[in-house]
Amino acid sequence: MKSDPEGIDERWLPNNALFAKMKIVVIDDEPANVALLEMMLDEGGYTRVKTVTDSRLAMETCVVFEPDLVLLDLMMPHVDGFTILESLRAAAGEAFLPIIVLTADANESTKLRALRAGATDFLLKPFDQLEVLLRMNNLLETRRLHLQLDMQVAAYADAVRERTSELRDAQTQLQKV
Amino acid sequence: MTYSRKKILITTLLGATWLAALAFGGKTLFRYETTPGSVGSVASSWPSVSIVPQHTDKPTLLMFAHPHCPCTRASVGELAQIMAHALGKVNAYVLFVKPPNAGADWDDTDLRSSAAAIPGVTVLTDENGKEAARFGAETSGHTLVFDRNGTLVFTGGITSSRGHAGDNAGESAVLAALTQQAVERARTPVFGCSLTKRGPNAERKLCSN
Amino acid sequence: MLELTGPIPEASSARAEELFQEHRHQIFCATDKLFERLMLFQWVACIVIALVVSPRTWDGEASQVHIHVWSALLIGGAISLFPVWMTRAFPGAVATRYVIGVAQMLMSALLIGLTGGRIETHFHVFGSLVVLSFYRDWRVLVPATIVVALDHFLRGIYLPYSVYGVLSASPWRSIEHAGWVVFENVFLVISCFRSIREMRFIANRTAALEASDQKSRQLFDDAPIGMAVVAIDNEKFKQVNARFSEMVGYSADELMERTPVELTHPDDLAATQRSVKAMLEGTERCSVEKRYQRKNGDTLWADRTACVIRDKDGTPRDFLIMVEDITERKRAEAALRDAKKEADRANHAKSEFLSRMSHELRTPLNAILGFGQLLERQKPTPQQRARVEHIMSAGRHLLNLINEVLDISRIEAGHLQLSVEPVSITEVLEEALSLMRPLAADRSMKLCVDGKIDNDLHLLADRQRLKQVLLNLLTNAVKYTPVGGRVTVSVEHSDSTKTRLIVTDTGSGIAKEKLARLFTPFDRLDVEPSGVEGTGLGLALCQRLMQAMGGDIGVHSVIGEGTAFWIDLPPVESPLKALPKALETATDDASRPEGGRILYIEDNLSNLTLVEQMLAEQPQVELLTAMQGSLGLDLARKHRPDLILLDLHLPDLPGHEVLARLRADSLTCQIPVVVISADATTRQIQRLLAAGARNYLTKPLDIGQFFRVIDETMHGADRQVEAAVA
Repeated sequence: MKSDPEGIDERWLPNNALFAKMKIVVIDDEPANVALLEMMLDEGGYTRVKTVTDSRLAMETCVVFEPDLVLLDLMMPHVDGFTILESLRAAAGEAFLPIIVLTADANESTKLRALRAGATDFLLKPFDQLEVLLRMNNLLETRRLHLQLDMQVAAYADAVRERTSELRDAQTQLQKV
Repeated sequence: MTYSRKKILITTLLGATWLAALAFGGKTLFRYETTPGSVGSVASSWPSVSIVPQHTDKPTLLMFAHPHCPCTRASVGELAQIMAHALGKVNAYVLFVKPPNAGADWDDTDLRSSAAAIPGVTVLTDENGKEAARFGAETSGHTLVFDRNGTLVFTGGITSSRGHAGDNAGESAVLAALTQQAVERARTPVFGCSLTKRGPNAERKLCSN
Repeated sequence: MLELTGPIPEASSARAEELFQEHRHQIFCATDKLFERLMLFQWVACIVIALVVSPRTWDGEASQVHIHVWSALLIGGAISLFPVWMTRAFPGAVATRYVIGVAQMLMSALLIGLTGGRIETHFHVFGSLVVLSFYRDWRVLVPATIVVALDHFLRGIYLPYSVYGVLSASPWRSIEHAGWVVFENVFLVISCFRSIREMRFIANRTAALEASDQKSRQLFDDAPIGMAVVAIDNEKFKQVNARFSEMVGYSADELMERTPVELTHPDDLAATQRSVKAMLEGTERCSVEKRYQRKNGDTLWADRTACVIRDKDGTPRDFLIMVEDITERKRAEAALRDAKKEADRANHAKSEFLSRMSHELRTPLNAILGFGQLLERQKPTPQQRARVEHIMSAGRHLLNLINEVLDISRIEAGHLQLSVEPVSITEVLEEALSLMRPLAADRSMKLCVDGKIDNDLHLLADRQRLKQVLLNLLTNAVKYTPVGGRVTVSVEHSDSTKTRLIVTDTGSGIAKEKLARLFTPFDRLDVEPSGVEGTGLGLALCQRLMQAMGGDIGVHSVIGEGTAFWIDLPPVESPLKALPKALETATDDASRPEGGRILYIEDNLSNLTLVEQMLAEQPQVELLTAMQGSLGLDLARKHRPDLILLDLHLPDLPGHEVLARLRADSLTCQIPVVVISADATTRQIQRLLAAGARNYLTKPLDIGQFFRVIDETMHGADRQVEAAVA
């Protein structure tokens, strides 16, 4: 967050066409903050962004929307971020769902608690937008790799299954012969 | 310690009374003890009639005693002393006076047996006090000594006071008469009970002795 | 027994005399009693003798009661009754014994008379004298002897033959009679004097003993602490002193009827009985803090020390209890506890408040800075850009302020965690200077190091915090020095216990009277007009950080010449220097890592170099290093090392966080992590192990231990994998 007099345009191009279609959910009760993040994400090139200001609707939205990444505030009325964090982790299961916690709570213990509860990353408000976007990119990259890996594994599994049944067929034919 | 005045006063009075009583009592007793018994007309020589045999080889000692008189116990004791000194030099007789109405065991007393136990002493019973009257003895413990010739050389008691044991003038005189040839006839008072019953007159007469 | 010979001990004469007189009086009274009985007995004896020896007097055959019988009855009665009266009326009085002396000799006379002057009866005279000497008063013998003498004298006068047996008594016989009595009297008098001497001796001894007894008794009674003696058999108080009575509110007499148990607060009974049991089982002394219930129902807090008192045979007889009133102290302690609780609560409330404040301030600040950033990127006109700059700069200033306030409050609450370890000066200084150079260049200022600093020079400090302090000092120096000035950093070794780093500028200097206020929070020394922005907390924070690290900070300034800020820290030997020797000793160690890939996340270059060199001789081990937590996480994900060594103090992320993220990521959660820390407390280590660390190492690193732990951890992992495969 240091003053950076160097050209903004120059350092501002974190987006990668790969991630433009990734689905992002922002959960924050503070409208100004939500608006800020929306604009930031818009500038960052993300096209599929959903925001939730009522934390009670957070889970529902996520289940329906199936985001690739979640930006989550912790201190919220009704349902707090930790609860949502745990619910999201439970719902995601084995799948790698990056969740970045954005909070104004500077306590060390809060940070650790969030990470322990399943946050992938933790950023303190006020945050540097560039940093948020870069971290998002990193995490989305990881998610992409995960998904790719899952697909490959599935493909291999199919291939193996196919091959196995071929072999079994060949064997039965051999036995017949 | 402080005592009440009253107490001290009482005590002082008691003390004075005490002293007075003691003085009176002491004096009375003293008087009694030192008052000699009566003495009759003592025969100056051996009487012609007597149950006691007369001896001419040795002097003869006669003691008249009342078998129940406690004071005579001292006299018998002194006689024993004398006999211890003069054994064999004297014929000694103790005559126990028996009153006319007395029972058979009148003179069967410890006094008689202790007298009889003295060596050289012959104990006799003086029936009805005849011998006493013959010799003129009226008081228990009265002792008479006659020489070989039948002459009276001693008459009197051999105790210093009533029933009082110990050295005394009578004893010394008897021993002198027995051991040496006494020149003079000695005479001492006799302390003891009366041998025979006396009338009040006799008492008075005797006292003047 | 008392030794009754030798000199009579000196003693407090008054009391000794009193005791002596008391003893004498006792003897007088006892002897009076003896004679009282003896008198009555003799009276009866006289009568019996008279009745036996001369019951009757005879007159021929007539008889009457003998005068002796009457004498025995009347004179004997007279003689004995008055002394008996005296013993009753004046027990122990002088007159009584004189009367008795006289009466006893009169009795002799009477007896002799009654027995007819038997020589044996004269023994009564000598026996009586001896019995009279029981009085231990030689003077009693005087009237008695006079009576004997008078008796003889009077009889000698009136009846010489009744005394001496002859009419004219020879003088030697009376002398002989008197002589025998005198002969006896001499020895009786000697015996009396001896007895008196013994009695004095005993009295003096007793007085001396009493005095010493009195003294210890007084010590007990007047002791300023409560003291009591309690019998072991019936558990009741035997003796208490005034202070004890006062403390429990019962009188001494009331206490004699009570037991300490009855006075003990019910909640302290168990503890009290335990201590009593311990003492009965052989513990000589036991102290207990317990409560007594005073008579008026109040509670008395006491420090009770007790011990066993044994008799000569060693059998426990009593407890001696000493009680000190600690009610006030307990009250003060409770007050202190309450105060501390209150202070803790207030402190906690303050932290809570600051943390909430921080949260509440950060939230709007996020919007301010966030939208500012958006504006910056919307290609603003130069005018707009300048205005956005103002918004951004004010926002950042506010953020710094919040951060510093939080830091200070953390230090003050003791929540700041420091990792003090050997830190290379050149390294830290280089990092700080490189960060400052752009700013210095902006102001056309020279930023340089004075002289050459030894690369091996290490200080004991928390690396991050030391850098923070240096940056703060350098920023100040650059900000407050006019354009074109010069900022110099130099090192000074004042002595072996501290090394001084000095940041000198060529600014306008600070007035002496203002120097003291430099480190006061929010006191900006009226620099506002100068237009230089600052939070006013920087130096205050620096001071607290330096103190927390065990160092110091100070300033020296000359108006017009410039200012020099210095910090002191203890120097320490470079860990690299010690390495070759340590490696040598460790070469024999069989348990070297067999091979694999190790990731070391550490920001301290010295430590990195150290580990690199340690593993240099192990070609089968591949070492990856990361100086930042986030880089470390990336490397871990990318290379999947066999082991991660994790320093807890990293510039970007705390070690706990790195550990938590490693465990959270499915790619890295299986990799064993060894935590390296300079200041790990047992609690911290347990927390780390609970959070998923496989093992831990403490700085400075012990080479043998280092290899052992690495080996164990890696092999343990192998074994686990094997087990999983099987």
